[in-house]
Amino acid sequence: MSLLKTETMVINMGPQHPSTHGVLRFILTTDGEVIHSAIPDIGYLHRGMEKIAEQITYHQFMPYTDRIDYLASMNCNWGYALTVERLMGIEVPRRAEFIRVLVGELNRIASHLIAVGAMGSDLGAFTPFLHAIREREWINDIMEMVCGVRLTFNYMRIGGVSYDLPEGFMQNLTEFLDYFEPKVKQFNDLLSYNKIFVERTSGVVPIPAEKAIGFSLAGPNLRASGVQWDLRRDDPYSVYRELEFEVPVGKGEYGETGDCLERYMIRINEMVESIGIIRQCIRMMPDGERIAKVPRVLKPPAGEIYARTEAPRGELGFYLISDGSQKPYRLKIRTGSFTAMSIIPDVAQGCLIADLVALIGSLDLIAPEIDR
Amino acid sequence: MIVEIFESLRAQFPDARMELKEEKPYPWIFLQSEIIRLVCGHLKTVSGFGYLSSLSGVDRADCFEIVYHLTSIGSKKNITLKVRVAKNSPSVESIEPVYPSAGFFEREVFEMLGIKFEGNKDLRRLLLPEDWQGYPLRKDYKYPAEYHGIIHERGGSVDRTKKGNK
Amino acid sequence: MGIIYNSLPENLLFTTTDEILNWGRKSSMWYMLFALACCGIELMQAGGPRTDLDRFGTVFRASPRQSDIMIVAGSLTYKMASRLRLLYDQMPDPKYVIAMGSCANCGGLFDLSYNVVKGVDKIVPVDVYIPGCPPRPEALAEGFLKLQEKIQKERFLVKKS
Repeated sequence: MSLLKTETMVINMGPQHPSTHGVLRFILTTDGEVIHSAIPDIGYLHRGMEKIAEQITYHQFMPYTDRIDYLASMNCNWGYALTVERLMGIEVPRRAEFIRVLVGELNRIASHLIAVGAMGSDLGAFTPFLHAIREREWINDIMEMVCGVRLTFNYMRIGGVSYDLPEGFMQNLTEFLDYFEPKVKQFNDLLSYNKIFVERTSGVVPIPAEKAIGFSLAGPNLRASGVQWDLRRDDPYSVYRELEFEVPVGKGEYGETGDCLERYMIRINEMVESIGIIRQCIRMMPDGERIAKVPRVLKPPAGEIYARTEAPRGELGFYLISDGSQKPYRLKIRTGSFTAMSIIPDVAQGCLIADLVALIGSLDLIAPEIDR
Repeated sequence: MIVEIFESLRAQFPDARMELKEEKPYPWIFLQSEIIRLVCGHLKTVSGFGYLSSLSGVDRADCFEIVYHLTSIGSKKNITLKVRVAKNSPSVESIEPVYPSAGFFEREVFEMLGIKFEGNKDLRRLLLPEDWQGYPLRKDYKYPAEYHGIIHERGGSVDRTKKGNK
Repeated sequence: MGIIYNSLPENLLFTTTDEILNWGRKSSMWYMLFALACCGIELMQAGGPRTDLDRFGTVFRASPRQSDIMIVAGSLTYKMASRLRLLYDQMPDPKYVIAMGSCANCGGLFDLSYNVVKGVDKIVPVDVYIPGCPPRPEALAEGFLKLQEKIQKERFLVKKS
């Protein structure tokens, strides 16, 4: 056997591949099926948004924030609007705040549906993906009632929201919530407790808590490793102080703490929590204005601010420097998928190629968040 | 809160130059660029700031600024640090040994502004193609006219009469 | 003899070779998934249960060697441009390209960006342009129907003189 010469092989997991996470590329050095090193190569969707922000006004940048993470557009809009409002000291009316929470949580459900469906599809289970898309069609219809678009909403404005809720919206939304709640259980029976799925994801690439904090993971990835950190509860913004919700944190019930199945189950549980938050918003919705009085030509005072919100993929932070003119001086966008990408070369050593696919699916990466 | 941290830093590094800027809405601390790695190590082990939220670079008129935002998960607080480097030879210590996530952040700042980080294990281009010229986020950057034969402006399409293009 | 003669009109068809070949080709177009950005999600939703692209006979394929159409959905950057040309060259003839969305048509709202190619037709020849940001799945279905009309009119077996 010692006369057989073996070498490592360099495989390209190229930018075009049948997975839904977008254009990512990995250069793998493998010995058979076992990976020795996985080097990410990113930038295939780098559209230069930070440079664009320095050339247009504050109001004009709102559609570009949709395209940072197109599966969770409402939350990206919200983060940017929050940053500018805090810098200028604008007070948002209460009704607008409740509308923002409602559509933000609804978008969280839509984003997590695609995340869990895509993870199943990567591992070979194609049917749950079609189930997830079917539920998402109803959410797209509800969003279309509010703002007219199905995917990149451009709904929030600096100081409030752009349109008030139309007639029949609350009834449609309540019907959807009553229809969707038992569907989560159906989805669980189809995929989450399936023996093949559990064998492929339980105990695969567990990420311990210190490593997760060191690599600045955020959102469900960080909570799956056992760290109690949710910006809606620990650094609250908008009206989250008045709402009651639980934050699911990984405890190792399905395998080890921080493995792929844990990250998947946290997303399923977060969907159920979001349904509860939306029901509270429907009950507590006040009357009032939908937007504060904001000048059309916006000139914030010279200064800087870093504001962050909890998007479905983690901490979305905007660092904005203003020099008193109509255009920003510098805008930096910090996303959750960027840091999740940086942990892969570290944890992927020693696992099989199939485990790498499960890892990428469970971290819920999306290409425009990494590249901006 | 930031005043106590500033006093404890000044006690730990007595002969370094640092300044506390009390600006609205959030204050920040100016540091000398040589001690940034030691300060970060001190903040991580002693004050509990173990989470790096963001690392960004800014092109000011007379210098480059690098801004660090740190978060403490235990006590739910934030702190902002700033470092200035000269424009003609920008270079600063890397904080990757302290916060491993800084590797990717620093690569992006290197690519966009041209600031070198000493101690970063893998300092090369991250988002743009390898043969890209220039540093895009500098204020005096000019857009390229074409890249490998693709014209930058709108208009013009591929020639269908050539072989291979149907 | 009477039974056979009376049932001939239902069971016999007169046509040209071109028409029948084109009918076969247009009813079974296999497209390659080339979802780059936001339009890719609408492409996936169009393949979902409500606007079903499968009723046109289309199936998505992951490999360029097995597909006839390439749907470019999303913005193209300079780093990705060489890969697009490579994949287009790997597809076997006859092949078609659909440019879906504003970014693929002309660069879209990223006109001020330094890294976006202003239109996919600088790299590959495009047959159908679908406008929208992102286009609705029904618009994509209409684009498919227009491509089917285009294929039906092609003269495939003309002797080159």
